[in-house]
Amino acid sequence: MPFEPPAFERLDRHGGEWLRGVGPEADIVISSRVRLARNLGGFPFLTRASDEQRREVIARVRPALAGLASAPGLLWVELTQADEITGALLMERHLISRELQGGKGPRGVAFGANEAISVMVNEEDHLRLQAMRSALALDEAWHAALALDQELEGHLEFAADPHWGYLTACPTNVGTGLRASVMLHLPALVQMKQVEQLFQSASRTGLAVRGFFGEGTMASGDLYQVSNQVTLGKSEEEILASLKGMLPNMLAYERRCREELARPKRRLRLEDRCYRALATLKAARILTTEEAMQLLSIVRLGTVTGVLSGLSLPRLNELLVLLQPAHVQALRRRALSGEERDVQRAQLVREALAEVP
Amino acid sequence: MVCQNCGQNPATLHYTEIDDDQERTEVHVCEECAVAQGLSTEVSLPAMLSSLGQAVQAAAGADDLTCPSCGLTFKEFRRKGRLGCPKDYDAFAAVLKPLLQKMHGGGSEHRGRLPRGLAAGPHSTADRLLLLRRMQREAVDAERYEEAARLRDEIQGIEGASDRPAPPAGA
Ligand SMILES: [Zn+2]
Ligand SMILES: [Zn+2]
Repeated sequence: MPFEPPAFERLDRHGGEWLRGVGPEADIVISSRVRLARNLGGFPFLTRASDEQRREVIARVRPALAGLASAPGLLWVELTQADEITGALLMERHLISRELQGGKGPRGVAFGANEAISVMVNEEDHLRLQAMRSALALDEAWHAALALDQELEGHLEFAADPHWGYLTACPTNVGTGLRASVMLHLPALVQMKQVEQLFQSASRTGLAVRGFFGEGTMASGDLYQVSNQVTLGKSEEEILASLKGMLPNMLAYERRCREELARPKRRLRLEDRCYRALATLKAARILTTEEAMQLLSIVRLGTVTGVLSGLSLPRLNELLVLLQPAHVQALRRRALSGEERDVQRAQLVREALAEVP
Repeated sequence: MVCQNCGQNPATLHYTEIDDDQERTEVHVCEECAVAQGLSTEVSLPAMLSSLGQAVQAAAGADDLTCPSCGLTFKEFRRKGRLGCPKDYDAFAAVLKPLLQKMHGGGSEHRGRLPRGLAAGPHSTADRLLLLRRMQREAVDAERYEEAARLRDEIQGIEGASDRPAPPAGA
């Protein structure tokens, strides 16, 4: 089946599957993701590939991606032909990485209409297969990525070796090429200044934690990504098990802090912060991405602790993405300056929260 | 954007610090500085490479190791942190093994999945293609177009003969 051109009318209104906001532990776990790094045998890695060779990689991968049972109807976007807003839009939706968006040379992405699958071509490796799910669903994401990988290996010859496993451009990914991650919303840990503790305990168990922030990405908003660091010497199941094994502690830690913030002696302060944040979002005329994310984070905390009612997690998750710079411009159907964006963003938020008491 | 801390590496970690007066400061640091300050637990490959650099260099001229397929030297790898082709793992095996062991918490032998059919045959075809592609690229860069065209035909000839990986044994 041939690829259709991307239909951005479908892309900008709502979040993808991973932002649905439903599923296990959805009050803390925004999304789960599994990524597999793969390279084609017989080709140099990308730092040593010419543009012609990059095009050759694309020419081999695209037919292989058409008509897959595990990922039907993929859309293809060639980044070299996409305008700036489109590239940023894809990054804000986590369909592509900042590296692919800002990269050079022939490169692109194929993704499913519900955005649960994406395949980056010519990022750091020839292929990056990604499966995303909302809430805590690492096994589902893994099985989706595995099905895609197994189907693709019938069409493409991946560089691999019995001792080293899948061969990748960076040795931090060699072996399984597997990076499993969850995005966590940890507002109470941040407020109680416990995030550093989390970092320390995570690194002791071989997990990586990083914060989100920055133009065009998921901005701050107390969002953290936890992922495995080790890819070699462990099976895929063992890697997933070590991440899954650590999560209950992390989630319990955040929940304890949330309970602490909601205890009688602190409750008034929590209520004050939540109501102020909501009032600001409903009234502001100018909102930067960072301020919007920070206020949304507090409102989300208020919603999951029962301080605020009238807002759903799916809607709040969606706003985390829809208020990013490229999304504001896509929703308004034109390129906007930074200042215009902040005005439009404030208006979008007021519209979205109009019904909230 | 450049790291605020060292002013050298690109900033890859971005966050906002909020102090007790709700005063907000944006912070942009590189991976190395983030790890040093305990902001990120991600192990930085360049940081690890540079710390291992001296030990590695002492190990019998490791920097001069060169991949026969793509021409990358170990020294270039240490500088960039990226390998040049799949054959580098074999070409640099002696130095990479201890590095990977450290990076991957002791593991240096793959225990996960492998592509079906990997065991079906030696990788001589892929290796030959890798070499031909390098020669072709060098011919193009040196504007030796006749040679480049001949090499391209040879590549296409090999690919035509083995267009798809061998079917998995017994499947
Ligand atoms: Zn730095
Ligand atoms: Zn090489």
